[in-house]
Amino acid sequence: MAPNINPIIIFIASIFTSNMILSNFLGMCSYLSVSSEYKTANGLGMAVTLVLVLTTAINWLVYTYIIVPPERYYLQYIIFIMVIAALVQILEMGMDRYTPDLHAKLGIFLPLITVNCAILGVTLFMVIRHYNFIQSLLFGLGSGLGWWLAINMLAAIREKLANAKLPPGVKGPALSFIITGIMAMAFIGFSGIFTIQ
Amino acid sequence: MDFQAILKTVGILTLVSASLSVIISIAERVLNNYGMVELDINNGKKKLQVKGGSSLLSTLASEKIFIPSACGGKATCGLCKVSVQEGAGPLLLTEEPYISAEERKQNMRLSCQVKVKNNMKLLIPEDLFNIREFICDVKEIEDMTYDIKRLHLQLPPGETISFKAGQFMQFYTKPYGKIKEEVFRAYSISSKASEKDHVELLIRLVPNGICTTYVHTVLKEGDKVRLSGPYGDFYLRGDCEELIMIAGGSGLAPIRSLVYDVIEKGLPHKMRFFFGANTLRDLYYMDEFAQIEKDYPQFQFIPCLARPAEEDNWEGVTGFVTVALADQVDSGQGKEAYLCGSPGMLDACIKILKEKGFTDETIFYDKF
Amino acid sequence: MKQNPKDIPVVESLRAGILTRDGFMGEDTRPFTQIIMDDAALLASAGFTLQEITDKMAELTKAGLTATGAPVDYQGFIITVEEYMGKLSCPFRDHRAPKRNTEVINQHGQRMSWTDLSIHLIKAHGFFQGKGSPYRLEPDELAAFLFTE
Repeated sequence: MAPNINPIIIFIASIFTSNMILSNFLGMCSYLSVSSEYKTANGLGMAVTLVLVLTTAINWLVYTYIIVPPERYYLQYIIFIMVIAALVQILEMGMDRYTPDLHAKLGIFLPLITVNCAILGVTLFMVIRHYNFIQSLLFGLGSGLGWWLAINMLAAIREKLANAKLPPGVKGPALSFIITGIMAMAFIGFSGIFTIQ
Repeated sequence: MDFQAILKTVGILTLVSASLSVIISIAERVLNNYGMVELDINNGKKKLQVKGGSSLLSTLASEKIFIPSACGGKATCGLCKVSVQEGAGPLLLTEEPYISAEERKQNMRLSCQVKVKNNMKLLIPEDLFNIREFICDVKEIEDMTYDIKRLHLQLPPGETISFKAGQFMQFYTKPYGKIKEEVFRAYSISSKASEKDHVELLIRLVPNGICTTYVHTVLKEGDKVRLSGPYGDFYLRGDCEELIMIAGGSGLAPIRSLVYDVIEKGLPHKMRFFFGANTLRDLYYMDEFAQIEKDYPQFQFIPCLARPAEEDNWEGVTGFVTVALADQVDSGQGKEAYLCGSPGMLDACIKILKEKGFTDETIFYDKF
Repeated sequence: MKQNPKDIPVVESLRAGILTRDGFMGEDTRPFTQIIMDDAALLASAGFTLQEITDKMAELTKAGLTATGAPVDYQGFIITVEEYMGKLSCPFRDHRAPKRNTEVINQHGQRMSWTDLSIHLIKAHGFFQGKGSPYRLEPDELAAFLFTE
């Protein structure tokens, strides 16, 4: 049964109080490696948001109509991944064809997203929490925006710090982890405001 | 678990993956098929019907229009610029570093990065239409010095090339050793423009060079090599009385071609050829140029050795070519300068020439 | 760590046989971003900045250029610069460097060599090339080589 939570609450909560990166630490790979420049981080954030909305919607349908009726729950992981991979490919081709402007900005990020754990993570959360379609959709959108927000913040801070005098041992990934940790602590301050499951 | 349950699981998986593959292949058919598109070159002078979906560089190459490019479509050399008036889409991240603000206004694009998706309007310099591709026989490989080889490349029977003396060809290597892909590099033609059945190139071994190592260690007489060309705007202008020619090392190649061109066409220009080298063992074609000097008083050959060895017994000019230049050329009045050599030599010579009153309009050299 | 998609063309151009015969990576299996970070730490522990290192390298090359092809004596270094026709693209696609080799011998008889592209790679990208690359320079050794009397 779907929990009785206002979808808007889920939307806001997934951006702030249970942010994909800062509360769940999902999608860290690309979050760390593509955050050295604000411009590219922004592109990746946009792409993640777009893909998250589409995959949660489609995976909800796949789960409800293909996995649940025959009770083959153990197939969900492989099927979700296949759906995500196929979707990303089609999305890339479609963008290249119809919105070349957008493709020029997002195209190079799309293949990277296929294997981003935040994407699968959101789908699995949606399944575990028994969200209905509208809740899932807003959860997907909110999680995407939250991820986008987090990577943009990290990239902005990293760009600011790029020319700072820092101890050599701290530079690079270590610094990103420290920044992320501090940001996560700030975000944890929000936790408990909303229940989302 | 009974047999039916297993069958059901397998069935579901098969169904899902099959339907996804069908969807993807349909999407590919529909979305990645750009059909036949029209390329309009130079405002309707030439119209081509081509299949969309590949890069502009390779699409044009398959139509026998060769845009000069030194990196082979990897967006690293920035040479394959073409003005695309319509139909190219937005500037890509990979192109940005190579397109200046000025070029952006002229709609310049890197043709290796632009994908042909719809009808396009292009502006391509007329010269590029002469560019063709040749599969040549390596007829001779001769050592000119310890690190320079001369290649005599015979065109296929019946084919001819027409080039302006001074222009260059692109030479394609086959994969060898660790090199897994074909690469190409540019070399000036050293043979006479009147000899249309072959070209000669002078190739100096560069440490860690892909193409020069291939020529010096792998290539044998009797092999086949692929060339395309001619390219370049380094050729005789002749709007003057005297030509000052300056070369170092394998830079002698285009100058040799230029000298023969002036002589064979019976042009009246005086010519002075300053050839810079370190020691005697770096000099080559000495007898030939001495002979030309004897036969044609309009031509003067001035080899300069920077550091002749004791045993060289050198009686010619000693010192850098720049010193000889400063001594012997009085002013830029009525003269044009043609240079080919290493970047350091070019810079030094151009500085001297400018002091003498030569201008950007009277100094010519290849920028690759 | 996952690769930044912007780095893919760089990784491609660093391979052997793309821009140069032996490429820029040698036998090094680390990602180039890792090499840059490791070398930055090495250089910092030696107490020098990229700017100081590359200024000195460029200065020596410039000194050697006064007599291309022959040894030049400069501040106790013996420098030989050799030039070749044409330019070489930077694998990071932001520069085209003249093909120029500088070989330097210091007072202790140690020998190091670099190209104009090496200087650019270090200056602009902090990239000293992979171990086993023909023009790999160890940052701490290079610093010691350039700055010890």
